[in-house]
Amino acid sequence: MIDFFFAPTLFWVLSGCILLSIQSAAIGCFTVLNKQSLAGDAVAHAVLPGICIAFLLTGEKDGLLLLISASISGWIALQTIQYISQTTKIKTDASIGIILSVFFGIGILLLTSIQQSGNGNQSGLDKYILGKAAGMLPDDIFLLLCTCSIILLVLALFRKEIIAYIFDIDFTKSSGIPFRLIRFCLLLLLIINVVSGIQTVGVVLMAALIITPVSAARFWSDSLQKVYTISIIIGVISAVVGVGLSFYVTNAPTGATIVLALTSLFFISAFFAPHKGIIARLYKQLNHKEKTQQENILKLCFHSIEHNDNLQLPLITHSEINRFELIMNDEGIVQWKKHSKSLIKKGFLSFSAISDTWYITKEGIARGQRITRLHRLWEAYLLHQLQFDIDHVHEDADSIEHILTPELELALETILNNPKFDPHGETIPRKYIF
Amino acid sequence: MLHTSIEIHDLTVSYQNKPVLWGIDCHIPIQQLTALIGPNGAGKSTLLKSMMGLIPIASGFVHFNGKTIDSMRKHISYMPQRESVDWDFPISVKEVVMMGRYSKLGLFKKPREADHLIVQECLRKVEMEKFADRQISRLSGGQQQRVFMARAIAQDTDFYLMDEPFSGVDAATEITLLDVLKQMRDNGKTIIVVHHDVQAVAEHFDNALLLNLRKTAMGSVKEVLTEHNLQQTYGGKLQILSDVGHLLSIEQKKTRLR
Repeated sequence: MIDFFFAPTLFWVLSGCILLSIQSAAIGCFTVLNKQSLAGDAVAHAVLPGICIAFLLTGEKDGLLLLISASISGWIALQTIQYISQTTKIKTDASIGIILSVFFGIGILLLTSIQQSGNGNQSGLDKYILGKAAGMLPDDIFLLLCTCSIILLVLALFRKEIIAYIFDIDFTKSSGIPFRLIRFCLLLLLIINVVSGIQTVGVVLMAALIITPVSAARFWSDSLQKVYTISIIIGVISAVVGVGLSFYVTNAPTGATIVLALTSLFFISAFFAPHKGIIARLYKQLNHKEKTQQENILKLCFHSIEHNDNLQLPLITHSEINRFELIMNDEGIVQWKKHSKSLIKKGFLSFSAISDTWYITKEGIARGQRITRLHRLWEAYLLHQLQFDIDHVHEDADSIEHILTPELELALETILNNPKFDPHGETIPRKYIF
Repeated sequence: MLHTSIEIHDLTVSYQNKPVLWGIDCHIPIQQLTALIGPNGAGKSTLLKSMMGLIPIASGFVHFNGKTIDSMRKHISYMPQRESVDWDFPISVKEVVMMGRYSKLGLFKKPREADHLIVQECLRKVEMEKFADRQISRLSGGQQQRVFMARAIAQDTDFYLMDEPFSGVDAATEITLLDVLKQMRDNGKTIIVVHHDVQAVAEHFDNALLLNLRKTAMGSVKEVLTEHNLQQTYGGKLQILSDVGHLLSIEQKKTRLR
């Protein structure tokens, strides 16, 4: 029985929220990339006076006139913000702060006086502040269907010009692309989006629908096309989850649950996205640390044999290992047990169970030699080219030796004219002695 | 002669706190390579931007082949400084270069196959064809410059105004890019380049416009790159001129606020 009672409402609310999420994510993608994230917030706050004035004039809580009046109010706010930041020393964020609050303040004043005027029709006007998705009617859905189509269509039509405008405004102006039209379109779409969505999620939460999807999507991709699509998908998922939560679990306002779902998706993206997520980056760092430590072991192995004439697969004795650990211990770098297995796996070491000894393979020596070579090249570069003091060069080289690329190695050789010795008088090993 | 050159007449520019330009007068010959040189803060970028109509001109005018910038936009490419954009923007090298085709394509039109070929060709000229699909956030400074240059070339115009295309570029790349510019010049293009390296200008350019808040010299590099002119350009600080310029811009701000 309950399902039957809820089903039509749920359908309208769900479709409304999905449409709103799609259009917000779409326009938000370009607004945020244009570094105007807060413009959406400003508009959301600034439409309130327009809504109140329209209500005072017509006595209606919905309707086209109300939306137009709200849009005009938002437009005036954006133009004022732009005027202030262009003609005075006040920066954009400060002027947004000023204008957003004053418009919202005026809106609250008007709203209060309307509520006190005893107009029987006024109850429910506060849905524009907190949002009331649950009260969505087919008319509202139709409106959102129109705005969503307009926004997606205009964004598709002017796509290439919008991207050029956002990426490089001077170039766009200079090449005769109608940038004023593009700028006008972007602002107009933003206002249309906010005005059509504000009664669903409310003034304060509107900004999240615009800013959060693209911010989350940026963790997943570096391609605008993908970021755009992912933003919209994230918007749709959070609309579905948010409406579901609000209807079946918490009975909380839908706007709030959508924003919570959206923000959860943002944090999931921030942590778990491949490549750019926090965990992926930590993993990379850890990997680099491990590689550094293993290369340090191979470097020490090379050091202990580099003065021998006979470079055949030398064994590493237990006393040698103790010595390594002693040398590196204060830096906590060499942990033989931990790394030797991995080095064997990678083919840089081999282990003989019979004699209980380790051998360095040819590849291991070559790697140790390369690290040594890069270390000494870098020391020579710091001393001779950059006039560093000799007691400053060693520690720096300890970290640089692990990251120099073959191209940089070549550049160093050229600029130093293939040096034979490092600043400490040690031979810089030649490449590929095997 | 008037109608086949870039004519800058008594150009004075006063723009926020940026360098001020005073009464610049000169003819820049077409189909030649002209370098714009001068110390930091001399107003080189300001001159290019005011020529492109990107910042307001206080007095004077700039004519390209006798016409104003607004009627000539389709014939002029402008390459801004590399630092003027956000290189973390999520697009690929190819997409940036394609922007050079947008003004020719017009609104609502998708790039045609011919445009893709042009983009490919321009990337090849600056030796970036391997990087066509790379995201711009993963480029080095020199590669960014080459992408910007490829975009300018893709515009395929008669005039090119380039703001420091060689800053952050290694020596080998600079030679490559200079060769590209020379080839364009030989094909009848008029190219103006802001440059820092007087030595390179003397070697590779036809003309030089020496600038320090005002024009100090203009002519073929052989004539104008003299010790006297360079001393005039780089020597004095012109403190009075820059102080007065600052006063002027404050005055203008006040009037603008009213």
